[in-house]
Amino acid sequence: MSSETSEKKSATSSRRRAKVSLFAQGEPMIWLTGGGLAVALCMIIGLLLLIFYNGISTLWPMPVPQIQTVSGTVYLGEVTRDESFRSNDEPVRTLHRRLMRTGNFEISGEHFNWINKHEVKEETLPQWALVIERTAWGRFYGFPESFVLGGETVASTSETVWKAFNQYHDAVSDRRGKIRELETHEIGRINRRLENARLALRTVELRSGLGSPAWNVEHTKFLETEKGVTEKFKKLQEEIVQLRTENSRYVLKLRTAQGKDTAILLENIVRAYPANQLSIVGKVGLYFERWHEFLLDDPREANSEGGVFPAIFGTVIMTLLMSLAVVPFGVMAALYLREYAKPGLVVSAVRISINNLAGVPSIVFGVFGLGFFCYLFGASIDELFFASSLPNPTFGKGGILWASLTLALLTLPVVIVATEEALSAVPNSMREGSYACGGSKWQTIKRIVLPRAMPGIMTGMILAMARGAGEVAPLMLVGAVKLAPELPLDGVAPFIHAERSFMHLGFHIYDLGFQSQNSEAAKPMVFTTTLLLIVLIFLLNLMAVRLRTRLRSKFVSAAF
Amino acid sequence: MTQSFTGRARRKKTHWSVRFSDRFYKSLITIGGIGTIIAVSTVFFYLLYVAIPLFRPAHIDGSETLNRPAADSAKPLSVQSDEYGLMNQVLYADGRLVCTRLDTGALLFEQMLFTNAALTAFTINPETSETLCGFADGSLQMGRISFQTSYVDAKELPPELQALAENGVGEWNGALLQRISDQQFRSVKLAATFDEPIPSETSAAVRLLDQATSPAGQISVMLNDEGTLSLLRFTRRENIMTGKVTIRRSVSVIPYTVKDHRDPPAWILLSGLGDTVFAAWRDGTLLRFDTRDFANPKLLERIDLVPEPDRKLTALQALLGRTTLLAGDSSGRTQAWFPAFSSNSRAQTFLVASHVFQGPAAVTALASSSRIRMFAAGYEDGTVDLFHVTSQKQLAHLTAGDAPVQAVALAPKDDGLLALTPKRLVQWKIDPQHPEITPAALFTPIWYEGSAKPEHVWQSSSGTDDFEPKFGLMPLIFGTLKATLFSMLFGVPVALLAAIFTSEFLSPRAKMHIKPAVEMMAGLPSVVLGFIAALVLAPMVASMLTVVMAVFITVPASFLIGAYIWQMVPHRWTLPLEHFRFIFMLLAVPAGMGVAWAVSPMVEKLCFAGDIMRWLDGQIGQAFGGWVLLLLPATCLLTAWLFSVAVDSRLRSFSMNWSRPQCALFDLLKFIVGAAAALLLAVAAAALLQELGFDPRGSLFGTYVQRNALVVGFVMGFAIIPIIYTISEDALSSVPDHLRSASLGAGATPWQTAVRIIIPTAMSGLFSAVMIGLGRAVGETMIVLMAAGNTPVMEWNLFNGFRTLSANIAVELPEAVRNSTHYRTLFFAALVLFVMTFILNTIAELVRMRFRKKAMEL
Repeated sequence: MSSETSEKKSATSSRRRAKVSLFAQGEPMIWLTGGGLAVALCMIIGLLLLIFYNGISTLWPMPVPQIQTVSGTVYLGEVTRDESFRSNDEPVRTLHRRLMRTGNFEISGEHFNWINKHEVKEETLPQWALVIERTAWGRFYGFPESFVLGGETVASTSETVWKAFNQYHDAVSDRRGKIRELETHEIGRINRRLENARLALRTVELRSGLGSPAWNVEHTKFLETEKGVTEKFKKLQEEIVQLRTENSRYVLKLRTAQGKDTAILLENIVRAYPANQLSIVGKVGLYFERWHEFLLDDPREANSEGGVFPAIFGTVIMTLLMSLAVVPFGVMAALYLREYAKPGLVVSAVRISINNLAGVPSIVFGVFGLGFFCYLFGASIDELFFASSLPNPTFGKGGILWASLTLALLTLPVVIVATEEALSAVPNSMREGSYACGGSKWQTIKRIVLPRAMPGIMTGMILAMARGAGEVAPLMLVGAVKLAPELPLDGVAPFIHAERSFMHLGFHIYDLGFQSQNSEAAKPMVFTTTLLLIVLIFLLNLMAVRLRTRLRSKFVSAAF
Repeated sequence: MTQSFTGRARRKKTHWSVRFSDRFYKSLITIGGIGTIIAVSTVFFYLLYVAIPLFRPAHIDGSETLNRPAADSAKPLSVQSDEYGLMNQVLYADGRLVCTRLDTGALLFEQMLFTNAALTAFTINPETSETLCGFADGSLQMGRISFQTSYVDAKELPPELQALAENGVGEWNGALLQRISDQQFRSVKLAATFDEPIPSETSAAVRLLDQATSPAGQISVMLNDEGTLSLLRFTRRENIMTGKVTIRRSVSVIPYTVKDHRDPPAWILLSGLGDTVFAAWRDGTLLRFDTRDFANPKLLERIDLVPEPDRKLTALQALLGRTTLLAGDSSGRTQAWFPAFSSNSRAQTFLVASHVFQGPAAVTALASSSRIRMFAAGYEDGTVDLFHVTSQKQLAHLTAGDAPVQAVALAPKDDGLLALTPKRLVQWKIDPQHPEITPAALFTPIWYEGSAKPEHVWQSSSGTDDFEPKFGLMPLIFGTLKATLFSMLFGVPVALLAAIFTSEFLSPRAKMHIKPAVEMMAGLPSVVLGFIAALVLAPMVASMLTVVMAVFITVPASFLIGAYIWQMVPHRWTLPLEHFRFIFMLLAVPAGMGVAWAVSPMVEKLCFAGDIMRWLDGQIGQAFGGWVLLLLPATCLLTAWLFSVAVDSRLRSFSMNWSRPQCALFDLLKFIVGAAAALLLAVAAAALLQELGFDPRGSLFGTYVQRNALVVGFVMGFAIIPIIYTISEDALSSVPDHLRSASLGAGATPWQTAVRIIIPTAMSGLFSAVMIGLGRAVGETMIVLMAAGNTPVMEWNLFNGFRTLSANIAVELPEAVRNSTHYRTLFFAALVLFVMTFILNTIAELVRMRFRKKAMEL
């Protein structure tokens, strides 16, 4: 097909007088069409490189330069980026400036600072500049002054302070972990017991009325539970206070680059490192430690630091629930259309409609999900089974079950179309062979048709999962939230909490990138989250494409 | 029984379990399959089910006529009913307060409120129940006439009341009791309390009164028998020792002179914030005073509300918010007037008549709702109309009798309507449903309060209660179309060209890798693209706008120049490189971008006076540069077409005997001449347009906003490229090979084959690809949500934001109250989206099926 064939013909056949005119070859036009592809490819490559580079490099520890300007201001922090801008004064000049993450929000009131390049007097890499990642207030940049243990200064040179920090930090972190464990799990458990008792009381109240004998019995029970719970709560509280007091003995005293002294409790420090001293091994170690935190920890600092584990978990559970719903029904609908329904005008109309549904905007499905599942269906469930906790909705609001069902509806056409395609790729001769051997229709489908179509069905499922995992617009309406306190799947009976709202990687990107207060600090995290989501979806897609090519090479079919 | 080979008897019957499972699975799959298909179609029907009630008419429950306890000749000053529709009160001009039950019409009590002096003027604020009364001796009295609700435990009541059924009503201690649950009763009671009279300096009787709550406190306006119009402010002082309250008033006289009137005004009204006083006469004359400065009220304008000489003004009432005036006249016409800036001056406001409502006879009574912009009008012939102002919808036309309607009242929750005629009191249970929505309100310009002319506006909510919701869908539909247009403008050419190249000119090996790679991008979550657009691309484009604009010209140009250079290179060198031609094309992209980078400062200086942002803002520079850039693509296409029509065929016959390098050189020359011609043409046209006074700024160009249509068009174009590319490439590839072979065999070049054979054959496939891309662009949510700025403006400005239907749903639906008008309108918007994309997709699908059939036949 390439122009080579005709070209060669004319070039070699010397006998033919008529030459192919250069103008007829339309070279410029071919280049223009090639240009379309080139532009598309360049954009794809550019986009992927941008996300990949930013996503990969976010967690890499950066050096911490100290910059002194002509006016005498000193900045210490990590360089976020350099850019050029236009000065407002006449004559208009192009100037360069640098965005620096200077942290120390509680002192300076700012997370970031712009520094004009032409105002920089001196730039150094101080040896003992510490980067401190904290549980609150964002990062801190400063120099170690002293280490205080229970009111006594135990170290006062940078090196000894650093040593002392490393010596005690692990133990303090462990205690912090324990406090968190007590606060979230233990206290959560007691609260749940109290809440259950209250709901039981309310149920009896709704059934037999306030002040009835049954209510009185239940009320005594409730009071007992309440008493027990209060005692337990006190005990836990004491334990927590004890741990807190122990932790508050460890204090790291620091001096900022501007010369201000400040003290940070070791308990509030997640991680600290002398950025300018790190060896390459240290950097790699830190890098992987951060990835570990990113993948397996909870977010902190309004999602702009820490991990995205709940979002990953929510995405996976939601996608699995969705495929549980979509695959059986999608396959059934396809089997019906292809094997059982009499082909005719109605069936082809249905087929066209289903194809079209794949093109209906996802937000429309979200609107439907909110109105139908949450407000209509969920509210009825609440009235029937969860009347005791009304007016607080249980199922009558967005939740992971409704989100999965909404996305199942959205991805149903994908599964139906893929399955139908796979079914039609099974040659009729095989079906007829089975019938000739005495197989019944269902036996034929079960033993001959479905196994052959299985790779195609799998493709459909994986494509549906890929679409479902990346869809955000409907989730905004039916249950994805920026911060879910509890996972939809945990160790508390009944284990799967289908009514809970959940975090989702895609929604996390939207929320971080678009609604974050400190958007500059959140931006690197968005890139990393994006990378994660893209990798997930591309892996799913790649699997589908592989399966499809295998399927296609196995059975020749008319695609398109 | 025949003997079988094995010697065992053959079972001819199918085993029951096989038959059973066959039937079982058949019914299971049939039910499941049909069920699934029905479930999917529920989406459409549910959206319809929620949206339909928007267009339902108001619901009126038959009238209930209650005979008035005594035929009253006295004029009713105020009619009100309580929140629960149990009782009503009527205050007559002679100072009698009459309270009746609404279910039976029985008189609850009658009370003479004022014994010391004759009541001459009265006003009540329906929200706070605060009243102000004026008397014949010129004194004033403040007070409160309100329905007081309390809850009573069943045990405290006498047994006959305890026997009441749910919602049953009984009388107890002058209050009405209604059972609301097993243990509880609601008690509603009318209470009238008044402060000490405030004496007046003059003894002239008070004729008219009105009051409002201004930011500085309570403010009132008064007209007395001497014709003095004055503004009053009360200060309340409480004596700590005795607890006695003394009220002082400060007065400011509003000066007015009306030549032809010997009478004082017939109505006076104070606006909601107390900053405007209206005084109106029976002949329609209205004076509007600015009272923001309490000490110095000044006349703003004088207007005739009823210009027709044979008509008289018969009723005047303020609408919710007390900014709009309802003026009813003797012909039955009610007009809504509000102050608005005229379209040419922003200095002063003028009253405009925005809406006209025609009734059957002279308007005798008007009452406005305290929750929405709805009002009831009573007429001389005994009929009552219910209108919604914004949508101009007539909600009901009711008959109260044949005598003139003296007063009308709307219940506090808008669920009841009362009309008072001399003989009867008539009540209706009403449910206005969604009065603010009509098809016209959704799709045509609507005259909203405060604007000089009808406009398309979407503004669904605001902080205040008396806010007028604006549900014009057009700005959103416009935004959707704008996003779609710009993204198609970028995406379609790129995708189609790429598909043509992939199917016709790319080597199969490269195609094997490139096509799946592009296809994969279809699975890229749009939230990722939205994030890139909003946080990376938008700031980048803002900082180098000229470069971006230049790129759209230099990159295509660099491909063309690449092609001409390629032709110039001796054929024996390029022939072995033919397979790698695409790599050179790839290199042309950065080359074009580099050129754009290099020339952008010059372009900015020449076309945009050195600073494009300020140029776009209209601060500096002239229209010329913008026109050149805007016209250049058009003139390029024009010259290309002219050349192909006029030059190419002649050139081909000329060049029969030329050598290849000669041809290539001549081709390059042709291109340069063409490019120069296009540029010159653009410059000339731009100069002409500038001379004629046209400026692209204000239409296609305008003030730069960081999140704009250019960024969205680019990124959304990128989002729809994979789908258009895949489908159109499939269509091109499925054109049977024998057509290609025949064409090539007949001596056509691959380019000629592509243009004259392949593309026409696959045309319907390409069309359906574009339609499907269009459907995607229409419904895309995340990209526009994040990168379009979400301001619902109707501007073609490439550098301004917009709000699409889909983004609007995503932003507002989580906050909409279930089953409210807003909620249903958003469902309606979703339905519009659904229908739009469904139609586009159906067209695409039908065309594609036809193409498939045609391709099979070939």
